Amino acid sequence: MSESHSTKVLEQMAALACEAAAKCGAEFADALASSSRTISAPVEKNGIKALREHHRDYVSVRCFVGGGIGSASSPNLEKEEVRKAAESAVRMAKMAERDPDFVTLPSPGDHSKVAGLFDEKLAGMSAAKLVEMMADEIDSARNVDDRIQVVEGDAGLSVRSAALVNSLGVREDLSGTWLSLYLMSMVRKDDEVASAYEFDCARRLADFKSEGVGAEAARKTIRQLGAANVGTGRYPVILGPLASETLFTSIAACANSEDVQKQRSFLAGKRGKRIGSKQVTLVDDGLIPGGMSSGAVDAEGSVRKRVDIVRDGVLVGYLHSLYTSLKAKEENTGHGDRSGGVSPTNVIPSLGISAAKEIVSGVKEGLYVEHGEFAPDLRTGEISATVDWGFWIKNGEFAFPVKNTMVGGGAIELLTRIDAISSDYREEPGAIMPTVLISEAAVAGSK
Amino acid sequence: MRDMLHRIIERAKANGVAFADARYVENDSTGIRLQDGRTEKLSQSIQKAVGVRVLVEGAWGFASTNRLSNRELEDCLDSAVGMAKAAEGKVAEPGVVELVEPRSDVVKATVRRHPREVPMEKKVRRLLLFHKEAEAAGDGKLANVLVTYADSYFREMVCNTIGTMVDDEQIRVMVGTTVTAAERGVRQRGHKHVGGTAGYEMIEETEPADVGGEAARSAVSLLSARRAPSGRFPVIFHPSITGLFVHEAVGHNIEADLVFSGASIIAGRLGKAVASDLVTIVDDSTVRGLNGSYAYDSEGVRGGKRVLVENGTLKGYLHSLETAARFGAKPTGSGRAQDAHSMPIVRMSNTFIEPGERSLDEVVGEMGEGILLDEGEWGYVMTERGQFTCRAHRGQLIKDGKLADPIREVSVSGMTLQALEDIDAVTREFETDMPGTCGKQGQGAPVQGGGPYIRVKELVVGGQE
Repeated sequence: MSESHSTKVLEQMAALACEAAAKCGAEFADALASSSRTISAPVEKNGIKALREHHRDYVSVRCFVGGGIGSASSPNLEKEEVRKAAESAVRMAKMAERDPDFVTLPSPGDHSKVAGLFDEKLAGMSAAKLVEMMADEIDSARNVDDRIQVVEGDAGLSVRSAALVNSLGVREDLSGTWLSLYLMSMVRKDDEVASAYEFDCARRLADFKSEGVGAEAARKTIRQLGAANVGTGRYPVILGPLASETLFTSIAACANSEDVQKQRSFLAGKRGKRIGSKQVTLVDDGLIPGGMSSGAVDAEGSVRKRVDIVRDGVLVGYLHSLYTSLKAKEENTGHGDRSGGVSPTNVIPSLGISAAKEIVSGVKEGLYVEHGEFAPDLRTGEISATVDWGFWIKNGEFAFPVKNTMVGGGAIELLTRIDAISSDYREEPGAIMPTVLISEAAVAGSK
Repeated sequence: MRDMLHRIIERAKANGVAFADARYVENDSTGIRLQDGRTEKLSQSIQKAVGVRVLVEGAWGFASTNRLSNRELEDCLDSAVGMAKAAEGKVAEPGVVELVEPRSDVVKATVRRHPREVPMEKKVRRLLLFHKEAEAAGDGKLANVLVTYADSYFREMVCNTIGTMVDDEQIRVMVGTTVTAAERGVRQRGHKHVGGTAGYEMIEETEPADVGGEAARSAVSLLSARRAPSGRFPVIFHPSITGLFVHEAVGHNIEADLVFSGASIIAGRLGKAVASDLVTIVDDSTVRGLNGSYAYDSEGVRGGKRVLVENGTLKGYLHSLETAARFGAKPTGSGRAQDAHSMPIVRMSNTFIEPGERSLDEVVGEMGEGILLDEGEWGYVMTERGQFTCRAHRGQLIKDGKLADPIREVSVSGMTLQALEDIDAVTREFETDMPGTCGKQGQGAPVQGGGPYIRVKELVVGGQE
């Protein structure tokens, strides 16, 4: 199939959209031109189900009149379609109402390039190689135990050339590469079914370590055999790396100033106040080389900055786009997205002094959550999460895997009860995921 | 475009593929966002693309593009064949296709007012009424009011080597209001939306008070609600949660691709009891106006009403062309793709539990204590283990046969087969007001769910108290 367009061509198309918008009366305009190629190899019943490839080209244009926004996207990169999209966006912006808080779009800013976001080796990877990688991991899972069935999985490669242009002179290359592989396995023993999954992801081939992902999924699956119900009560809860990551990234998401200014977030009005124990320090860092959510600029072209969100348990910062920063008269942190909102990037917690194993060994009776969505409700901050995979701890050791178990509590209450964060951690590009001890939370079981 | 698709399929046949289909999908959508009474954003998106799927030596290959010249489409076919060949040898179960009777049909969306014929200014004026109703019902406690509108025109042409050529149109509209109420440091959300396969008449016929006002009343009433308890309780599901439950816990397990892969807890139970005999479950893509309705699926197979569970007995699975061939069954018109860049997979449409004979008052009245959960938000399921989670935005405690204190948002979890067996009451009150989007394998599909109030003897409630 035809190759993706070069960033030079894409920049020209984005510039064309901005010029067409200006001619129609846009006060400000920006355009993102993108040409992407995605290959994926989904899995079915211990084998590759299919091999898929798709190409998509488009330009998305945003136009501003009096601060009102009109946005439109073209179905392809044909000049006439791009012009029509720009005209349509201006027409809609004129129908929107004035926004007294809107001042301007980003101007060109000095910044360094973030390394490792586009990898030529990945861009040149063949579909056959992707199939081979996935087939190897299916084999590695099944070699662990002959009862293992691989029931789901996918290996995906995405190569995107993209250019962002705005009417104030911003010209940014937003190209990137992304590679991921996940695999879910299960085992049946009598009437019992156990399952688990494992994954790897990266922006560059050198960071991708898929070897053994299948075997690890299989080992985790076997460990889930013998799952039992637990009782209801208040217990220490340990969040494993994947569970703690859902808690910390969602706290960062709730610290977005769009929701804070609109009084939608439970973190509104809490800056300068304690929202967690002294163990909790969270930083949003979109500048990590090779990070899954890294970029030198945000989706509007503002230069990204590293932001302290929580320091020693105190909420110290919100994430800003240019719009929200001007409204609040604060520094723009470069977290704007193209929908007009604010989004976190890579969220990094500070580490503690004890190893994860020591943290577990210090719990007499409690719950270890290997995976569960610990995202609080944006408005109330309440958490009500199912333990997707977990273990009951007795005398500092995993006693048995749990089933049909839930954990509840307020986000601030749980953050305040964090007694320890491990010194060791799981690492994915741009993500540090430690083990976290919450001294007590409501555990609901079906025993 | 019809000729281009035919040309691709003829070329695929000449290449000796076992099966091929080519789909052209056009999706033209618009959206409006009003925030705190100000029209802040209007948007439009147009997508046109072709996806080509081939079966070569038992391996599926797929390619798609939005470069729509004859030359690019030929390249797209070659790429799909190349993909299939690259996968050859790594496929554990060779692909198959049920060779159904070919269909030739053109289906036009029958709406009274096409959304494109309604000026944006008129839509904005209508949305302001939803905002005003929210403000009026908000008792001065609303911190934020967001009114959103969306419409979409979806056209899918399916051409395959069996000889099918189907051209199907769907039009959908949606209006919703989300408010944030705040008082003395407590914040609560209220949300209500209405949508489906219909023209703009659905928006005109929707009372703004029933959406904007209802969202505001919900948020304000929750300001004084208590936190949910934690533990095992008898639970009554409001129809919106029944819809979530039947979709997540049951429906996904009945999708034959998951059954075939071994990832369904219901596998091997055809003809056997899987639920209490009070439970009859249907999936029906023919109900006029509902969000999950369509005439043809993305494989050119006519949709229909399918009884999946009848009086507790599993009667059938949902099938695509491939799974029908694997199970020796008839395709159910359930092979749906999100767009031209996605391959069809087995999906639900509008899925319900059929109503029973009892009244909600009767069912509540005979309970000692329990919880009624209301306003289903989202859910997910681990089909292979049969563990599900449903999120309710609100609820009420039941004490001594009466509805008592209101409670805040909470999730509930259970094991699918146990929960189905434990359904001991099904009411005659029946609602299907839950239009939504179902996610599976990275694809979103418009669906709708609902049913009666149902009571489950015991579930785990993940409260905070």
